[in-house]
Amino acid sequence: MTIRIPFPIDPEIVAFVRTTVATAIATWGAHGLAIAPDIPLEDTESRSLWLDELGDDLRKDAAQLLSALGAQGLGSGFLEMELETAEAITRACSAIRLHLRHTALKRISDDSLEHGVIDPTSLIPGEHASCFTYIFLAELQGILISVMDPGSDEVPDDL
Amino acid sequence: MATTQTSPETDIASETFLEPSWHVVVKNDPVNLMSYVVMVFRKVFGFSLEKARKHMLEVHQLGRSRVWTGDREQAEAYVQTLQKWQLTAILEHDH
Repeated sequence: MTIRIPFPIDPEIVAFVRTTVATAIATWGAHGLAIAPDIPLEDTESRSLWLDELGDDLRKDAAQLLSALGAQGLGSGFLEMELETAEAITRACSAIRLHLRHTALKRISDDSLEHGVIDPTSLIPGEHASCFTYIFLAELQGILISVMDPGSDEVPDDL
Repeated sequence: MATTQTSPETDIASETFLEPSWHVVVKNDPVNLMSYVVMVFRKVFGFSLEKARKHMLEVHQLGRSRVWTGDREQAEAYVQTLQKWQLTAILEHDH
């Protein structure tokens, strides 16, 4: 199944987001994960394998997101991709947003982030790019979900 | 994509006859969209929209939801799959 969605947006904005995303990916922790998961295993080898599998999958997802934010992706004014690619991008959007929340945006309250109500004047230097990217990726994710799984997006995200 | 689906019938059967005691629990986070959580539950577990929303609301309002119960091996697989979807999933066991 191929998804094609008009997405008219200034390519410079997309490039700006791509830079922030690439920077976030470059600073991911051990095993290339955005955040540390809870692993229900005891022995070291199994835990390491678990993390490696998560890291490998996330790297692939992140590559798809970076590609979508490239000149042939969102920069072209359209989103056109296979369903599996869209799924990978939605996962990567979550990973980047989680990473930003726990790093550059850790000063901002959960309530503000959860409701998307952030006063731009309250941000300090260094938070603006991350905040914009955080919101942009949520919008991108929401658009993809509305196409991938109609009905899921009928849940109000400001509940 | 790594997805695993199970039918409601399978859930009922395993809960009734095998007395499973391993639970897959999803905890709340301030980042993931509600619509995203619903979509993930539907893709991973094959939940109906109604059931996926019910579990999502439990996560949002109660801080956690037990989304699957069964044998340990399958529970571990579900936890890892949910973590690949960037949800905060943990494994719990009845003592």
